[in-house]
Amino acid sequence: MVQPSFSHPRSDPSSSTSSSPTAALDAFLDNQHQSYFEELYKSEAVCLCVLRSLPPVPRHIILHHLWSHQPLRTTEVKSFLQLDIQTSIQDVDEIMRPALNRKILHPMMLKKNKMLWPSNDAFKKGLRNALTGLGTSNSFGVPFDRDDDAEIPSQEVLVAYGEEAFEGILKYMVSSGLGIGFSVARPQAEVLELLHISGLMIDPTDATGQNPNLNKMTITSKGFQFLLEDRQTQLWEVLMYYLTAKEANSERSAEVLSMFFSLGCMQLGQDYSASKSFPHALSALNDLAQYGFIYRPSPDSNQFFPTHLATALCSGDAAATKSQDADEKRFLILETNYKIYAYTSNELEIAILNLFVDIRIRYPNLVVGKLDRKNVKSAMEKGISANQIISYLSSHAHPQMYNSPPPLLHPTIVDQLHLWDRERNRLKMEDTVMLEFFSKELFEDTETESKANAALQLSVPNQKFLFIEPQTKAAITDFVKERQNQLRSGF
Amino acid sequence: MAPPPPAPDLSSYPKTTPPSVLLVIIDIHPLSWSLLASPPPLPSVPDQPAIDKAHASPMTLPDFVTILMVFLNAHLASRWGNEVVVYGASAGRAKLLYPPPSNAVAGPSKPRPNTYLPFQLLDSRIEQGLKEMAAEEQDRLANGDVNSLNQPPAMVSALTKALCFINRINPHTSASAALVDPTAAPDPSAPSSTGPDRPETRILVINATPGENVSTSSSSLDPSQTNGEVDGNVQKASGGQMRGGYVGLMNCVFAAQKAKVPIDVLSLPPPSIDASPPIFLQQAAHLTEGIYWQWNGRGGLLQYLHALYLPPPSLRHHPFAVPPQDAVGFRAVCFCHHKTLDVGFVCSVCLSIFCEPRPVCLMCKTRFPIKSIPTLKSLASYIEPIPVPDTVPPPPIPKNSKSQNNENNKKDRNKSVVNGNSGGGRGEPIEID
Repeated sequence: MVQPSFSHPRSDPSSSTSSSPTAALDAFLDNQHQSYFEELYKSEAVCLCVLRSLPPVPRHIILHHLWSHQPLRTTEVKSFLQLDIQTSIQDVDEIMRPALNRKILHPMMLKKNKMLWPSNDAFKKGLRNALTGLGTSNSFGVPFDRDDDAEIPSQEVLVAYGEEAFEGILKYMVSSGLGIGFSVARPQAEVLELLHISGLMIDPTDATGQNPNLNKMTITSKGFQFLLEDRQTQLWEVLMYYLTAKEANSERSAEVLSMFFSLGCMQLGQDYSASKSFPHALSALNDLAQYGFIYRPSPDSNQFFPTHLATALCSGDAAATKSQDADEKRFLILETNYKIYAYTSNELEIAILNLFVDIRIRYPNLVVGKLDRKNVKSAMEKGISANQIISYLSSHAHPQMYNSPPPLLHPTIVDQLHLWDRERNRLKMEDTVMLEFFSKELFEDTETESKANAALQLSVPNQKFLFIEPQTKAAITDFVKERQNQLRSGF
Repeated sequence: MAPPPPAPDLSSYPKTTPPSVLLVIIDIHPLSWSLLASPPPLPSVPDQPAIDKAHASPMTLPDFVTILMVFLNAHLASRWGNEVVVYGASAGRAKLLYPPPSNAVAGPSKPRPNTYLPFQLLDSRIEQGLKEMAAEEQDRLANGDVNSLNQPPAMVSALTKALCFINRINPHTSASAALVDPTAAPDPSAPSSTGPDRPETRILVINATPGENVSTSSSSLDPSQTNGEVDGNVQKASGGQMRGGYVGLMNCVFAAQKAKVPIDVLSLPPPSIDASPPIFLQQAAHLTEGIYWQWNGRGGLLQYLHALYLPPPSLRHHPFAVPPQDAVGFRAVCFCHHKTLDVGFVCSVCLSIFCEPRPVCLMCKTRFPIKSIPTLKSLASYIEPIPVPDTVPPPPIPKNSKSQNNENNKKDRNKSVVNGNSGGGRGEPIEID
């Protein structure tokens, strides 16, 4: 029997693109118009963060060219990248695509096979100012003017506060889905509203989806998937839901987005003045406090402290967040006999594990469970895919797991998870058109014809049935009629 | 008709790069900077009007440090997790300027609203460190220690410190080390699937001291020989000092080569001050696959720094082009008189280099047959020094026409060097070229 081969999720190109923590942000930015970027690039913090979010090659080409007075030429890019001078513009375009999408460069045709890319002046100025510190937009946050002896919370306190606030929301989501009773405080109404608008939670009793009862919402399959993402992806998704839901007015939306980036460039443990840093986005800043992005000593004070949730926002590859809670995040040991040992006492992590693991033993700092078909399949019923489970397991793998030779997760288990996933999808629905033939010649001719045009879905020679793609129906029937006439006239 | 060139393979471009640590060694020798601040007029280059139009620009240390800070900020900006380490090398001593030692007081208490805080910390700390070093120099002068100024900058000391720093942050991890410290182990879960998440390191040496002075000797020179020379151009033998800076420098270079740390070299003295390039730093860059470039004294340093030295090693060669390296003088320094040699004599036991045949090796005390010495001398007299272009031609400014020509030139020259070597290397006297 031929074993089905499953590509490892990490080597799968499609999964690697979607696994970027800022995928939600990228999707949002890609759909924005030139004027939106002009507004954004007024802030130096945005320029810096956007630069860092580019892939290395365009990023270094931008930096290479930053201090030049001339527009960037394609010929320069080609020689810098050691490309043949005859390389077509489209290929070079493709390399610089991320920068073009972010409107950092404007394409301009010079003459045949040559192109100029003048830089976006706002971006160039912003980035130069970010590097030299000569900007005027206060985008890196105005420190709060406090007395020197005033007591400020330590970094640990801020981290604990942010963690508690955000995990509170996640816990609420999990508990609504599992019906296990942990005592969770219900998040505030605005948060619940956002969870509903974003589709992470719904009220099952509310058929229209118009006026949900915010107190009786349950988690959706999208919500389950959200739970399994890593922290930074979750944060950006929440922020993007917030931005699209609350800030339909595009002018303000740019200001709020640039505030997100500014928060990402701030320093943990430093206090900032809200009214001076973000004069136009104060209400949005207040909203962020509910998710634990910032800490305010008192609700109406002008002073605020960004928590680690905010300051880690822009650390492109989550390196910063990893170093902060690396120990807490890597707690899973998965054996080849499907047993899972989780060295954690975090209620949220245990609840998430409980989604697809049959938990057998609980000690104060250790949970032992087993991946089995029933639990994994019930998780898949909830909309969690095998790839998501696998990426969750590998991103939480205990340091000891790295000591065994790669791959990190044993192929047996990875394959088994994929097999369980496939079991659910044995039947695939497709629209089709069935043709029934009486003449064998006509059947065979039509079969070859539809095969040649990639229209054939299935042929059953015994009964002379053909199943073809619906959109090709007209063409195939024309062919059949024509052929029929030919065959008849031949007799 | 030529077939269309193959499309660039986008998938071969790295999706992410590991974090990069840049160790900068800046030469702040007072005499060298006084030379740079008032450079002699540049010769005109009539055949290259684009170059000729740029005027000679004096470069003072504060100006240059401003430029350097912007460059270092750009390095920090280009990726999260990038780090900068700065060493200052002054006359005879080297010091760590950044990062500050952990017990030092934290940086400025108040962040500026328009500066990214890491940039601000870096800049203010470097400024502070440079001022401290300048004050120390002042003290040394005030204490009557005038001769210390005549020492060459302590490049070797700084390089050694830098390599030790690299070894500390990037130990050669074995399986046992990975057990002790799991974070140092290659981390497949990290988003960089193209490479391990270990930081890559490189050293950038910014040389301001002209000539071969840079590496002849790091130890104190004989006052009688150096008293009169205030221009810092100390080329004479420093009598009696067995361990010259040459050996130290070369040891550093080989250590860096083994650890795969590129040593980039930016040589500031333009050709008008310094006709001969600092060949040992040039060799260092060549051996470690770093980038060597000599400033032409016509401004534009900020752009040159960004254009040449910013890409991390993982992006160099592929996909980015590196500037072509010109002829490298592979000459060595003799262990006996610290002279730069074209033709030298090598001890067959310990490989020490001498400028004349000796009956007893000065380093390992091996005795050689006294009869062979006249033979060696006569053989050596047959050898003609190989004409290697010693000076580095200025890099061509028009970028469009650059890549092809220069690479060809470079190849040709390399070939000639190799040919010469094989012809000249016969018998005992080994030609060091």
